[in-house]
Formats: sequence, structure tokens, C-alpha cells
Amino acid sequence: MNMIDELLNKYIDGELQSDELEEVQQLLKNEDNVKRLKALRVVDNSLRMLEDDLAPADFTSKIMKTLSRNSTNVKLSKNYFASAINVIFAVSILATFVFIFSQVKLDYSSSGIDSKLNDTVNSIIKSTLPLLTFFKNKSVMFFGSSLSLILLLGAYYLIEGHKIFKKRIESFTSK
Amino acid sequence: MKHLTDIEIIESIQRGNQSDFSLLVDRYKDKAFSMLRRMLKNEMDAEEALQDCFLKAFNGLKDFRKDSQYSTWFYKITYNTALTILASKKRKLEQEMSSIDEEFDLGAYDPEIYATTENVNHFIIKMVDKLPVRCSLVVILFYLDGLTMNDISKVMGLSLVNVKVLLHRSRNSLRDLLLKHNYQEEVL
Repeated sequence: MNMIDELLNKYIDGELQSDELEEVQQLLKNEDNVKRLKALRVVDNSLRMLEDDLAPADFTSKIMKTLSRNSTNVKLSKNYFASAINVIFAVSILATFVFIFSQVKLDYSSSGIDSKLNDTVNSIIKSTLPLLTFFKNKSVMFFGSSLSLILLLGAYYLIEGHKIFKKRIESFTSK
Repeated sequence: MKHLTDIEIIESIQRGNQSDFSLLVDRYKDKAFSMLRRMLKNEMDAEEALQDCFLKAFNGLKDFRKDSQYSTWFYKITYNTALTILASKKRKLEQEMSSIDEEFDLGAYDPEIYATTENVNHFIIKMVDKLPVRCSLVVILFYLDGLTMNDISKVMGLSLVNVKVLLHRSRNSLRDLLLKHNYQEEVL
């Protein structure tokens, strides 16, 4: 870009220093430079009339829907996590009670329960005894706990995966 | 309704009024769309990018520094989003974005556009779309969005001198076309 063009552009933008202004005045004694300045003014005026391209009419509502959907998903994901923690906590409490119950030896001979009830209780205990003995086995307990944990985590990630998939489908269809 | 400043709207959003973000969307969607359409040269890509820009802006509001201007910050997001899309599409990016010193010639588009336009304004506006991406963007940010050259240099990550070079070069090339068609005599 030559010096004349630069000065004329600065003139258009009102950026000339006083010494440069004198230089421009000298330049404008030449008819060609006057033409160039005129044309530059036309360009400047036309560019000032540029208008915005309009974004699609429903754009604002679309973006606000996406934002509210995203924030709902965040809340839901927090809820799922809290639920998973609660379930793990409840299962561990239940397991503790089962363990304690299996350690306690019941003696019904000294109680005041009548013999019929005593027989019923004894038969229930006898029938569940193999099951309790089975669950008292340490390796079974370890296996059971691990399986529960894996199932809970699996369910959690399954739900999360489903949510992400659903979100993708929704964003795809909303376009 | 009272006209809220960008900062007042942002403070309201940060207090939890998420719906107030729609005020910022309404205020900037057309300007950002104009910018994106000219950079990406495709309305569908521009719309998709526009959505992306506003989501990025919303998520970034918590880190927004209130001593800076929202418009400059948002246009920077818009510019970078468009650059990422262009890079991923490899759409002549190197040719169009590589050098400030690169000269360009609008002559190839001139006959077609001159033949289909009715007046000088229409001719100039059509020609702006044919400028190289960075030149067109400087023109849009300066004339349409009313950004100062300093702000444009922040948005585009260029020096102030380079922004001026791009603006002057764009105007000069448009002026040369007007001189060629003697348009300046018709108007003035």
C-alpha cells in the first residue's frame, strides 16, 4: 500500500496528525487523488450501511431449551449418584444385621413361648440354617459383596450412558 | 423495560437467573451470525457454530472478568469457534489465513457481481463477501459491530498495525473497483 493510500485512509478514519493533514491538502491538488478520495468515501459510506444477517427466528428459544436441558441433566446426574451411594449404604447396613443375626445363638427353651410357636420358629431356623451357613462362608460373602458392588456400578453407568445417548439423539433431532 | 447493560445481565445470570441469558442471545445473535456466515461461507455451518458459541459463552460466564467488555470477549469466542471449524474442514484455511502481507484481487468476481447489482451500496456489500476471510471480518467488526481497531486486534489476536493494514487494504480494493466502474461520479 502506498503512502498516498495510507494517508487517505487515515483521513477517512480521522486519524491524521496536523503535519499529515497539510500533506493531504497538498495531495488533493491533484485530480486523480481527489477521485481516489471520493471513491474511498463512497466505500466508507456504503460499508456503514451494512446490515446484520438475521439469525434464525427461533434461535433464542432453541438455545434456551438446550441450556435448560443441560442443567436438568446435571441435576439428574447428581441425583443418580446420591441414590447409588444411598443404596450401597443401605445394603451394607443390611449385610451387617444379617452377619450379627447369624452369630447370635438363640435359646428358646428358657423363654415363655408356647411349644407350638417354639416348634415353628425352630423349623424356620432349621430350614434357613443351611442358607445362613452358606452365606457365613467368607469367600461367598466376599463374592456377594463384590457382585453387588459391580451390579450397582454397572446400573449407574448404564443409566448415565442412556442419558448421554438420549441427549445426543435430542440434540440431533433439534437441529 | 429498563435497558440493562451486558454486565448487569451477566450479574443476574450469575445470581441464578439463567433465563436472563436470552437477553444476551437476542442482543448478539445477529451480529455473531453475520460474522460466522462470512467466515464459514455457509448458513447451516454458521447456525451450528452460533449455537456452539452461545453454549461456550454461557459455560464460560463464571470465569468472565467484569472489567473487560462482554462484546469483545464474546466475539473472540465466536472468532475462535469459526477458526476451529475452518481448520477441521481444511477449507482453504492456509491460503486464506496465512499472511497479512498477502495481496488479493477481487477482479475475478467483479464482472458477475457488477452485472447483477443495481447500485453502488449493493455492489460494495456483495463484494465484502468476496474479500479474504480476515479482511471481510475486520470490515464486519469495524462497520457492523462498531468495534474499535483496538478491540478488533484483541478479538483476532493481531497487532493494531495489522488490523489497520487489513482494513485499509480492503477499502482500497473496493475503491479500485468503484474507480473502474466510475461509480464515485454517480454517487457524489
